Amino acid sequence: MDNNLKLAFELLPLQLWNTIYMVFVSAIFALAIGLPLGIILTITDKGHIKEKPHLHNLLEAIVNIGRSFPFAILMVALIPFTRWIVGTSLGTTASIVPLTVAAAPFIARQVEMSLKEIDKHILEAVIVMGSNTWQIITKVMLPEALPSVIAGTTTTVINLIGYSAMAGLVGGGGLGQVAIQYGYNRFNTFIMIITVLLLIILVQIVQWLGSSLTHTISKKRGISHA
Amino acid sequence: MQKKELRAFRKKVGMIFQHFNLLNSRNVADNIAYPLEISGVSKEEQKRRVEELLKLVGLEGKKGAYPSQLSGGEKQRVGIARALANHPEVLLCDEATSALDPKTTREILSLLKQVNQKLRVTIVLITHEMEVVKQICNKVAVIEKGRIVEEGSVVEVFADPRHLTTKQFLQSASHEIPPEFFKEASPRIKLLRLRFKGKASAEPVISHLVRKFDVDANILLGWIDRLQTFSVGTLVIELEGSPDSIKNALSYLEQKHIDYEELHG
Repeated sequence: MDNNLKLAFELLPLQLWNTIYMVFVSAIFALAIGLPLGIILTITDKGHIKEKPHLHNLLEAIVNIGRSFPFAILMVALIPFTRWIVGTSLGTTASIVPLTVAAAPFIARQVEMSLKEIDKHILEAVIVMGSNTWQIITKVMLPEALPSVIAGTTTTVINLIGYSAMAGLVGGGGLGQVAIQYGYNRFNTFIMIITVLLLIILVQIVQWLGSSLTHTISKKRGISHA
Repeated sequence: MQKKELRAFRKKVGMIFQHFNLLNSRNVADNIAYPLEISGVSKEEQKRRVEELLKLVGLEGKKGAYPSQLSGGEKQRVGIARALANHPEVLLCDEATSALDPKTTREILSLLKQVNQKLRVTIVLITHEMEVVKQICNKVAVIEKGRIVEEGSVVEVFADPRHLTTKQFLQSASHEIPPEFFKEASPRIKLLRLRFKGKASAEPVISHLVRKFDVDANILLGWIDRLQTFSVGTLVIELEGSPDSIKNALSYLEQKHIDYEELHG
Protein backbone atom coordinates (compact mmCIF):
# COMPACT_ATOMS: atom_id res chain seq x y z
CA MET A 1 0.00 0.00 0.00
CA ASP A 2 2.79 2.43 0.85
CA ASN A 3 4.50 1.64 -2.41
CA ASN A 4 1.28 2.22 -4.29
CA LEU A 5 0.77 5.53 -2.59
CA LYS A 6 4.31 6.55 -3.44
CA LEU A 7 3.80 5.47 -7.04
CA ALA A 8 0.55 7.39 -7.19
CA PHE A 9 2.23 10.56 -5.97
CA GLU A 10 5.03 10.11 -8.48
CA LEU A 11 2.80 9.42 -11.48
CA LEU A 12 -0.50 11.09 -11.06
CA PRO A 13 0.21 14.81 -10.58
CA LEU A 14 2.22 14.95 -13.81
CA GLN A 15 -0.25 12.81 -15.77
CA LEU A 16 -3.21 14.72 -14.41
CA TRP A 17 -1.52 17.88 -15.62
CA ASN A 18 -0.89 16.23 -19.00
CA THR A 19 -4.58 15.37 -19.32
CA ILE A 20 -5.61 18.90 -18.41
CA TYR A 21 -3.07 20.31 -20.85
CA MET A 22 -4.22 18.06 -23.71
CA VAL A 23 -7.89 18.69 -23.09
CA PHE A 24 -7.70 22.44 -22.70
CA VAL A 25 -5.28 23.17 -25.49
CA SER A 26 -7.27 21.01 -27.90
CA ALA A 27 -10.52 22.58 -26.67
CA ILE A 28 -9.15 26.03 -27.47
CA PHE A 29 -8.02 24.94 -30.94
CA ALA A 30 -11.30 23.13 -31.53
CA LEU A 31 -13.20 26.25 -30.51
CA ALA A 32 -11.03 28.38 -32.80
CA ILE A 33 -11.98 26.12 -35.72
CA GLY A 34 -15.48 25.03 -34.66
CA LEU A 35 -16.90 28.41 -33.71
CA PRO A 36 -16.34 30.11 -37.08
CA LEU A 37 -17.33 26.89 -38.82
CA GLY A 38 -20.59 26.76 -36.86
CA ILE A 39 -21.29 30.41 -37.59
CA ILE A 40 -20.68 29.99 -41.31
CA LEU A 41 -22.74 26.82 -41.32
CA THR A 42 -25.62 28.75 -39.76
CA ILE A 43 -25.61 31.93 -41.80
CA THR A 44 -25.14 30.18 -45.16
CA ASP A 45 -28.16 27.98 -44.53
CA LYS A 46 -31.38 28.50 -46.46
CA GLY A 47 -33.31 31.54 -45.29
CA HIS A 48 -30.50 32.87 -43.14
CA ILE A 49 -28.59 36.12 -43.46
CA LYS A 50 -25.97 34.97 -46.01
CA GLU A 51 -27.62 32.15 -47.90
CA LYS A 52 -24.97 30.18 -49.86
CA PRO A 53 -26.21 26.65 -50.62
CA HIS A 54 -22.96 25.29 -52.12
CA LEU A 55 -20.71 26.44 -49.31
CA HIS A 56 -23.29 25.28 -46.80
CA ASN A 57 -23.51 21.80 -48.27
CA LEU A 58 -19.74 21.49 -48.47
CA LEU A 59 -19.28 22.45 -44.82
CA GLU A 60 -22.19 20.26 -43.85
CA ALA A 61 -20.45 17.29 -45.49
CA ILE A 62 -17.12 18.07 -43.81
CA VAL A 63 -18.72 18.32 -40.39
CA ASN A 64 -20.66 15.11 -40.89
CA ILE A 65 -17.61 13.20 -42.04
CA GLY A 66 -15.61 14.57 -39.12
CA ARG A 67 -18.26 13.50 -36.69
CA SER A 68 -18.74 10.02 -38.10
CA PHE A 69 -15.18 8.86 -37.31
CA PRO A 70 -14.88 6.90 -34.07
CA PHE A 71 -12.11 8.60 -32.14
CA ALA A 72 -9.88 5.51 -31.97
CA ILE A 73 -9.85 5.25 -35.77
CA LEU A 74 -9.47 8.98 -36.31
CA MET A 75 -6.42 8.98 -34.06
CA VAL A 76 -4.72 6.23 -36.05
CA ALA A 77 -5.78 7.65 -39.41
CA LEU A 78 -4.32 11.03 -38.49
CA ILE A 79 -0.87 9.71 -37.49
CA PRO A 80 0.85 10.96 -40.68
CA PHE A 81 -0.85 14.34 -40.38
CA THR A 82 0.13 14.56 -36.70
CA ARG A 83 3.74 13.69 -37.54
CA TRP A 84 3.76 16.36 -40.19
CA ILE A 85 2.52 19.00 -37.78
CA VAL A 86 4.16 18.08 -34.45
CA GLY A 87 7.06 15.95 -35.68
CA THR A 88 5.97 12.90 -33.72
CA SER A 89 2.78 10.95 -33.16
CA LEU A 90 3.61 10.07 -29.56
CA GLY A 91 3.16 12.11 -26.40
CA THR A 92 0.83 14.68 -25.06
CA THR A 93 1.45 17.43 -27.56
CA ALA A 94 0.94 15.04 -30.45
CA SER A 95 -2.42 13.98 -28.99
CA ILE A 96 -3.67 17.51 -29.31
CA VAL A 97 -3.92 17.14 -33.08
CA PRO A 98 -6.45 14.27 -33.23
CA LEU A 99 -8.30 15.66 -30.23
CA THR A 100 -8.72 18.99 -31.99
CA VAL A 101 -9.81 17.36 -35.23
CA ALA A 102 -12.34 15.24 -33.35
CA ALA A 103 -13.80 18.08 -31.31
CA ALA A 104 -13.95 20.85 -33.93
CA PRO A 105 -16.87 19.46 -35.98
CA PHE A 106 -18.63 18.64 -32.74
CA ILE A 107 -18.33 22.24 -31.60
CA ALA A 108 -19.35 23.49 -35.02
CA ARG A 109 -22.56 21.51 -34.83
CA GLN A 110 -23.32 22.63 -31.31
CA VAL A 111 -22.67 26.26 -32.16
CA GLU A 112 -24.96 25.90 -35.17
CA MET A 113 -27.70 24.44 -32.99
CA SER A 114 -27.34 27.23 -30.45
CA LEU A 115 -27.40 29.94 -33.11
CA LYS A 116 -30.48 28.46 -34.76
CA GLU A 117 -32.39 28.73 -31.49
CA ILE A 118 -32.33 32.52 -31.76
CA ASP A 119 -35.74 33.93 -32.57
CA LYS A 120 -35.83 34.76 -36.30
CA HIS A 121 -37.81 37.92 -35.54
CA ILE A 122 -34.90 39.32 -33.55
CA LEU A 123 -32.60 38.87 -36.54
CA GLU A 124 -35.23 40.44 -38.76
CA ALA A 125 -35.39 43.41 -36.40
CA VAL A 126 -31.65 44.04 -36.42
CA ILE A 127 -31.54 43.66 -40.20
CA VAL A 128 -34.19 46.32 -40.71
CA MET A 129 -32.23 48.54 -38.34
CA GLY A 130 -29.43 48.44 -40.90
CA SER A 131 -26.92 46.06 -39.27
CA ASN A 132 -24.28 44.48 -41.48
CA THR A 133 -23.44 40.78 -41.31
CA TRP A 134 -20.44 41.21 -39.00
CA GLN A 135 -22.52 43.29 -36.59
CA ILE A 136 -25.31 40.73 -36.62
CA ILE A 137 -22.87 37.92 -35.79
CA THR A 138 -20.83 39.69 -33.13
CA LYS A 139 -23.40 41.98 -31.53
CA VAL A 140 -26.50 39.87 -31.83
CA MET A 141 -26.12 36.17 -32.63
CA LEU A 142 -23.17 35.31 -30.39
CA PRO A 143 -24.31 37.29 -27.34
CA GLU A 144 -27.88 35.95 -27.69
CA ALA A 145 -26.66 32.36 -27.94
CA LEU A 146 -23.86 32.69 -25.39
CA PRO A 147 -25.35 30.58 -22.55
CA SER A 148 -26.23 27.84 -25.00
CA VAL A 149 -22.78 27.95 -26.66
CA ILE A 150 -21.11 27.66 -23.26
CA ALA A 151 -23.30 24.69 -22.35
CA GLY A 152 -22.39 23.00 -25.64
CA THR A 153 -18.70 23.70 -25.21
CA THR A 154 -18.82 22.20 -21.72
CA THR A 155 -20.19 18.97 -23.17
CA THR A 156 -17.42 18.98 -25.76
CA VAL A 157 -14.71 19.48 -23.14
CA ILE A 158 -16.10 16.53 -21.17
CA ASN A 159 -16.07 14.44 -24.33
CA LEU A 160 -12.46 15.52 -24.82
CA ILE A 161 -11.55 14.21 -21.37
CA GLY A 162 -12.90 10.83 -22.47
CA TYR A 163 -11.06 11.01 -25.79
CA SER A 164 -7.83 12.06 -24.09
CA ALA A 165 -7.96 8.92 -21.96
CA MET A 166 -8.30 6.94 -25.16
CA ALA A 167 -5.32 8.76 -26.63
CA GLY A 168 -3.40 7.72 -23.54
CA LEU A 169 -4.00 4.09 -24.39
CA VAL A 170 -1.82 4.42 -27.46
CA GLY A 171 1.00 6.48 -26.03
CA GLY A 172 -0.64 9.84 -25.76
CA GLY A 173 0.23 10.36 -22.13
CA GLY A 174 -2.12 11.56 -19.41
CA LEU A 175 -4.35 9.63 -17.06
CA GLY A 176 -5.40 7.18 -19.77
CA GLN A 177 -1.82 6.00 -20.12
CA VAL A 178 -1.51 5.49 -16.35
CA ALA A 179 -4.71 3.47 -16.37
CA ILE A 180 -3.51 1.12 -19.12
CA GLN A 181 0.13 0.79 -18.04
CA TYR A 182 -0.26 0.46 -14.30
CA GLY A 183 -3.89 -0.29 -13.70
CA TYR A 184 -4.45 -2.79 -16.52
CA ASN A 185 -1.09 -4.23 -17.56
CA ARG A 186 0.28 -4.46 -14.02
CA PHE A 187 -3.03 -5.26 -12.31
CA ASN A 188 -2.63 -2.34 -9.94
CA THR A 189 -6.20 -1.85 -8.77
CA PHE A 190 -5.28 0.99 -6.43
CA ILE A 191 -3.76 3.11 -9.19
CA MET A 192 -6.71 2.23 -11.42
CA ILE A 193 -9.22 3.43 -8.84
CA ILE A 194 -7.35 6.65 -8.15
CA THR A 195 -7.07 7.35 -11.88
CA VAL A 196 -10.78 6.82 -12.39
CA LEU A 197 -11.57 9.01 -9.39
CA LEU A 198 -9.38 11.79 -10.76
CA LEU A 199 -11.19 11.61 -14.11
CA ILE A 200 -14.54 11.74 -12.38
CA ILE A 201 -13.49 14.77 -10.34
CA LEU A 202 -12.14 16.46 -13.47
CA VAL A 203 -15.43 15.94 -15.29
CA GLN A 204 -17.39 17.21 -12.29
CA ILE A 205 -15.31 20.36 -12.07
CA VAL A 206 -15.66 21.11 -15.78
CA GLN A 207 -19.40 20.53 -15.67
CA TRP A 208 -19.76 22.67 -12.57
CA LEU A 209 -17.78 25.50 -14.15
CA GLY A 210 -19.79 25.34 -17.37
CA SER A 211 -23.13 25.15 -15.60
CA SER A 212 -22.45 27.97 -13.20
CA LEU A 213 -21.24 30.21 -16.03
CA THR A 214 -24.39 29.46 -18.04
CA HIS A 215 -26.51 29.96 -14.97
CA THR A 216 -24.88 33.28 -14.05
CA ILE A 217 -25.43 34.72 -17.51
CA SER A 218 -29.02 33.51 -17.71
CA LYS A 219 -29.78 34.83 -14.27
CA LYS A 220 -28.37 38.21 -15.13
CA ARG A 221 -30.65 38.28 -18.15
CA GLY A 222 -33.59 37.31 -15.97
CA ILE A 223 -34.08 33.93 -17.62
CA SER A 224 -34.56 31.18 -15.06
CA HIS A 225 -34.14 28.13 -17.29
CA ALA A 226 -31.36 27.82 -19.82
CA MET B 1 -30.93 49.72 -54.34
CA GLN B 2 -27.44 48.59 -53.40
CA LYS B 3 -27.02 46.71 -50.14
CA LYS B 4 -25.04 49.52 -48.60
CA GLU B 5 -27.57 52.14 -49.63
CA LEU B 6 -30.36 49.95 -48.33
CA ARG B 7 -28.63 49.66 -44.96
CA ALA B 8 -28.11 53.41 -44.83
CA PHE B 9 -31.75 53.97 -45.74
CA ARG B 10 -32.91 51.54 -43.09
CA LYS B 11 -31.17 53.60 -40.45
CA LYS B 12 -33.47 56.49 -41.39
CA VAL B 13 -36.56 54.38 -40.83
CA GLY B 14 -37.46 53.29 -37.32
CA MET B 15 -39.52 50.18 -36.85
CA ILE B 16 -41.39 48.59 -33.97
CA PHE B 17 -42.82 45.10 -33.95
CA GLN B 18 -45.71 43.08 -32.60
CA HIS B 19 -43.40 40.89 -30.53
CA PHE B 20 -41.02 43.75 -29.70
CA ASN B 21 -37.93 41.77 -30.83
CA LEU B 22 -35.61 43.13 -28.19
CA LEU B 23 -32.19 41.58 -27.66
CA ASN B 24 -32.38 39.34 -24.62
CA SER B 25 -28.65 39.65 -24.12
CA ARG B 26 -28.84 43.40 -23.57
CA ASN B 27 -30.47 45.49 -20.88
CA VAL B 28 -32.88 48.32 -21.68
CA ALA B 29 -30.20 50.99 -22.11
CA ASP B 30 -28.04 48.76 -24.33
CA ASN B 31 -31.02 47.73 -26.44
CA ILE B 32 -31.79 51.37 -27.11
CA ALA B 33 -28.12 52.03 -27.84
CA TYR B 34 -27.91 49.24 -30.45
CA PRO B 35 -28.87 51.30 -33.53
CA LEU B 36 -26.49 54.04 -32.38
CA GLU B 37 -23.72 51.50 -31.92
CA ILE B 38 -24.06 50.11 -35.42
CA SER B 39 -24.05 53.63 -36.84
CA GLY B 40 -20.74 54.38 -35.17
CA VAL B 41 -22.00 56.99 -32.72
CA SER B 42 -19.49 57.76 -29.96
CA LYS B 43 -19.95 56.19 -26.51
CA GLU B 44 -20.66 59.54 -24.80
CA GLU B 45 -23.16 60.52 -27.45
CA GLN B 46 -24.83 57.11 -27.15
CA LYS B 47 -25.17 57.58 -23.41
CA ARG B 48 -26.63 61.05 -23.77
CA ARG B 49 -29.13 59.96 -26.42
CA VAL B 50 -30.18 56.87 -24.43
CA GLU B 51 -30.94 59.03 -21.37
CA GLU B 52 -33.00 61.35 -23.55
CA LEU B 53 -34.96 58.45 -25.05
CA LEU B 54 -35.52 56.75 -21.69
CA LYS B 55 -37.07 59.96 -20.48
CA LEU B 56 -39.22 60.29 -23.59
CA VAL B 57 -40.73 56.83 -23.20
CA GLY B 58 -40.91 57.03 -19.41
CA LEU B 59 -38.51 54.22 -18.53
CA GLU B 60 -35.84 56.11 -16.59
CA GLY B 61 -36.05 53.65 -13.71
CA LYS B 62 -35.68 50.55 -15.86
CA LYS B 63 -32.49 51.20 -17.79
CA GLY B 64 -30.64 48.27 -16.20
CA ALA B 65 -33.47 45.75 -16.57
CA TYR B 66 -33.36 42.95 -19.13
CA PRO B 67 -36.27 42.37 -21.55
CA SER B 68 -37.45 39.25 -19.72
CA GLN B 69 -37.98 41.38 -16.61
CA LEU B 70 -40.30 43.84 -18.40
CA SER B 71 -44.04 43.84 -19.08
CA GLY B 72 -45.34 43.92 -22.64
CA GLY B 73 -46.03 47.65 -22.51
CA GLU B 74 -42.56 48.35 -21.16
CA LYS B 75 -41.00 46.20 -23.86
CA GLN B 76 -42.82 48.16 -26.53
CA ARG B 77 -41.62 51.42 -24.96
CA VAL B 78 -38.07 50.12 -25.27
CA GLY B 79 -38.90 49.19 -28.86
CA ILE B 80 -40.12 52.72 -29.56
CA ALA B 81 -37.06 54.29 -27.93
CA ARG B 82 -34.79 52.01 -29.94
CA ALA B 83 -36.62 52.83 -33.16
CA LEU B 84 -36.27 56.56 -32.53
CA ALA B 85 -32.59 56.45 -31.57
CA ASN B 86 -31.24 57.41 -34.98
CA HIS B 87 -33.71 60.28 -35.50
CA PRO B 88 -35.75 58.49 -38.17
CA GLU B 89 -38.04 60.37 -40.50
CA VAL B 90 -40.57 57.58 -40.53
CA LEU B 91 -41.62 55.19 -37.78
CA LEU B 92 -43.08 51.92 -39.02
CA CYS B 93 -45.33 50.11 -36.55
CA ASP B 94 -45.99 46.54 -37.53
CA GLU B 95 -49.00 45.41 -35.48
CA ALA B 96 -47.28 47.15 -32.60
CA THR B 97 -50.20 46.92 -30.21
CA SER B 98 -51.70 43.59 -31.28
CA ALA B 99 -49.99 41.68 -28.47
CA LEU B 100 -50.97 44.17 -25.79
CA ASP B 101 -54.05 44.48 -23.58
CA PRO B 102 -56.48 47.38 -24.23
CA LYS B 103 -55.18 49.58 -21.43
CA THR B 104 -51.55 49.17 -22.46
CA THR B 105 -52.58 49.66 -26.08
CA ARG B 106 -54.02 53.07 -25.17
CA GLU B 107 -50.84 54.01 -23.33
CA ILE B 108 -48.63 53.01 -26.24
CA LEU B 109 -50.88 54.83 -28.70
CA SER B 110 -50.76 58.04 -26.70
CA LEU B 111 -46.97 57.71 -26.61
CA LEU B 112 -46.95 57.30 -30.38
CA LYS B 113 -49.19 60.31 -30.78
CA GLN B 114 -46.81 62.30 -28.63
CA VAL B 115 -43.88 61.15 -30.76
CA ASN B 116 -45.73 62.16 -33.87
CA GLN B 117 -46.62 65.62 -32.60
CA LYS B 118 -43.52 66.47 -30.59
CA LEU B 119 -40.81 64.98 -32.76
CA ARG B 120 -42.64 65.46 -36.07
CA VAL B 121 -42.03 61.85 -37.02
CA THR B 122 -44.38 60.36 -39.59
CA ILE B 123 -45.91 57.18 -38.24
CA VAL B 124 -47.03 54.39 -40.51
CA LEU B 125 -49.17 52.01 -38.52
CA ILE B 126 -50.06 48.57 -39.75
CA THR B 127 -52.94 47.09 -37.81
CA HIS B 128 -56.14 45.11 -37.99
CA GLU B 129 -57.50 46.88 -34.92
CA MET B 130 -59.94 49.53 -36.09
CA GLU B 131 -60.01 51.09 -32.62
CA VAL B 132 -56.33 51.88 -33.03
CA VAL B 133 -56.94 53.59 -36.37
CA LYS B 134 -59.80 55.61 -34.90
CA GLN B 135 -57.69 56.72 -31.98
CA ILE B 136 -54.57 58.03 -33.58
CA CYS B 137 -54.59 57.96 -37.37
CA ASN B 138 -55.11 60.85 -39.73
CA LYS B 139 -55.15 58.89 -42.94
CA VAL B 140 -56.01 55.30 -43.61
CA ALA B 141 -55.51 52.87 -46.47
CA VAL B 142 -57.21 49.49 -46.54
CA ILE B 143 -55.01 46.81 -48.02
CA GLU B 144 -56.31 43.51 -49.24
CA LYS B 145 -54.10 40.86 -50.81
CA GLY B 146 -51.28 43.34 -51.23
CA ARG B 147 -53.38 46.01 -52.94
CA ILE B 148 -54.76 49.24 -51.59
CA VAL B 149 -58.51 48.91 -52.04
CA GLU B 150 -59.52 52.11 -50.33
CA GLU B 151 -57.79 55.15 -48.93
CA GLY B 152 -58.52 58.57 -47.59
CA SER B 153 -58.74 60.49 -44.35
CA VAL B 154 -59.90 58.41 -41.41
CA VAL B 155 -63.07 60.48 -41.14
CA GLU B 156 -63.91 59.97 -44.81
CA VAL B 157 -63.26 56.28 -44.86
CA PHE B 158 -64.86 55.45 -41.53
CA ALA B 159 -67.92 57.58 -42.13
CA ASP B 160 -68.46 56.32 -45.61
CA PRO B 161 -66.70 53.02 -46.31
CA ARG B 162 -67.01 51.98 -49.92
CA HIS B 163 -65.14 48.73 -50.33
CA LEU B 164 -66.64 45.53 -48.95
CA THR B 165 -63.51 44.70 -46.96
CA THR B 166 -63.58 48.10 -45.30
CA LYS B 167 -67.23 47.64 -44.42
CA GLN B 168 -66.55 44.23 -42.94
CA PHE B 169 -63.65 45.59 -40.92
CA LEU B 170 -65.74 48.40 -39.53
CA GLN B 171 -68.63 46.19 -38.58
CA SER B 172 -67.26 45.03 -35.31
CA ALA B 173 -68.66 42.02 -33.54
CA SER B 174 -70.74 44.00 -31.03
CA HIS B 175 -72.49 45.81 -33.87
CA GLU B 176 -73.60 42.73 -35.67
CA ILE B 177 -77.26 42.43 -36.51
CA PRO B 178 -78.78 39.07 -35.60
CA PRO B 179 -79.76 37.15 -38.74
CA GLU B 180 -83.44 36.84 -37.76
CA PHE B 181 -83.86 40.55 -38.50
CA PHE B 182 -83.24 39.96 -42.15
CA LYS B 183 -86.80 38.92 -42.94
CA GLU B 184 -87.85 37.93 -46.37
CA ALA B 185 -87.67 40.86 -48.72
CA SER B 186 -90.86 42.81 -48.64
CA PRO B 187 -91.71 46.15 -50.19
CA ARG B 188 -93.37 47.15 -46.90
CA ILE B 189 -90.43 46.57 -44.58
CA LYS B 190 -86.94 47.82 -45.13
CA LEU B 191 -83.87 47.37 -42.98
CA LEU B 192 -81.68 50.45 -43.22
CA ARG B 193 -78.34 51.58 -41.90
CA LEU B 194 -78.14 55.36 -41.57
CA ARG B 195 -74.96 57.35 -41.10
CA PHE B 196 -75.02 60.77 -39.48
CA LYS B 197 -71.97 62.88 -39.97
CA GLY B 198 -71.18 66.05 -38.10
CA LYS B 199 -74.21 68.37 -37.80
CA ALA B 200 -76.79 65.86 -38.94
CA SER B 201 -76.28 63.96 -35.72
CA ALA B 202 -77.98 66.80 -33.85
CA GLU B 203 -81.25 66.75 -35.84
CA PRO B 204 -84.15 64.50 -34.79
CA VAL B 205 -84.42 63.02 -38.25
CA ILE B 206 -86.19 59.83 -37.28
CA SER B 207 -89.06 61.52 -35.49
CA HIS B 208 -89.48 63.91 -38.44
CA LEU B 209 -89.59 60.90 -40.69
CA VAL B 210 -92.31 59.21 -38.68
CA ARG B 211 -94.41 62.34 -38.37
CA LYS B 212 -94.07 63.56 -41.94
CA PHE B 213 -94.56 60.28 -43.75
CA ASP B 214 -96.83 57.43 -42.96
CA VAL B 215 -94.10 55.09 -41.76
CA ASP B 216 -93.09 53.36 -38.56
CA ALA B 217 -89.49 53.29 -37.52
CA ASN B 218 -88.16 50.61 -35.25
CA ILE B 219 -84.66 51.35 -33.94
CA LEU B 220 -82.59 48.21 -33.70
CA LEU B 221 -79.10 49.44 -33.08
CA GLY B 222 -77.28 52.72 -32.70
CA TRP B 223 -73.84 53.95 -31.81
CA ILE B 224 -71.48 56.87 -32.21
CA ASP B 225 -67.88 56.55 -33.37
CA ARG B 226 -65.53 59.24 -32.26
CA LEU B 227 -62.83 59.81 -34.86
CA GLN B 228 -60.29 62.15 -33.33
CA THR B 229 -62.30 65.40 -33.37
CA PHE B 230 -65.19 64.22 -35.51
CA SER B 231 -68.17 62.04 -34.68
CA VAL B 232 -70.10 59.66 -36.86
CA GLY B 233 -73.40 58.24 -35.70
CA THR B 234 -74.78 55.00 -37.03
CA LEU B 235 -78.37 53.84 -36.68
CA VAL B 236 -79.89 50.61 -37.85
CA ILE B 237 -83.66 50.91 -38.23
CA GLU B 238 -86.56 48.98 -39.61
CA LEU B 239 -88.86 51.14 -41.70
CA GLU B 240 -92.40 49.91 -42.20
CA GLY B 241 -95.08 51.43 -44.38
CA SER B 242 -96.59 51.45 -47.85
CA PRO B 243 -94.04 51.31 -50.70
CA ASP B 244 -94.87 54.88 -51.63
CA SER B 245 -94.42 56.35 -48.19
CA ILE B 246 -91.16 54.44 -47.79
CA LYS B 247 -89.98 55.91 -51.06
CA ASN B 248 -90.84 59.40 -49.89
CA ALA B 249 -89.13 58.77 -46.60
CA LEU B 250 -85.96 57.70 -48.38
CA SER B 251 -85.87 60.76 -50.59
CA TYR B 252 -86.30 62.87 -47.47
CA LEU B 253 -83.18 61.24 -46.06
CA GLU B 254 -81.30 62.08 -49.22
CA GLN B 255 -82.45 65.67 -48.93
CA LYS B 256 -81.04 65.79 -45.42
CA HIS B 257 -77.72 64.41 -46.72
CA ILE B 258 -77.94 61.34 -44.59
CA ASP B 259 -76.24 58.32 -46.06
CA TYR B 260 -78.38 55.26 -45.94
CA GLU B 261 -77.85 51.76 -47.04
CA GLU B 262 -80.35 48.97 -47.35
CA LEU B 263 -79.32 45.86 -45.53
CA HIS B 264 -79.97 42.42 -46.85
CA GLY B 265 -79.39 39.11 -45.15
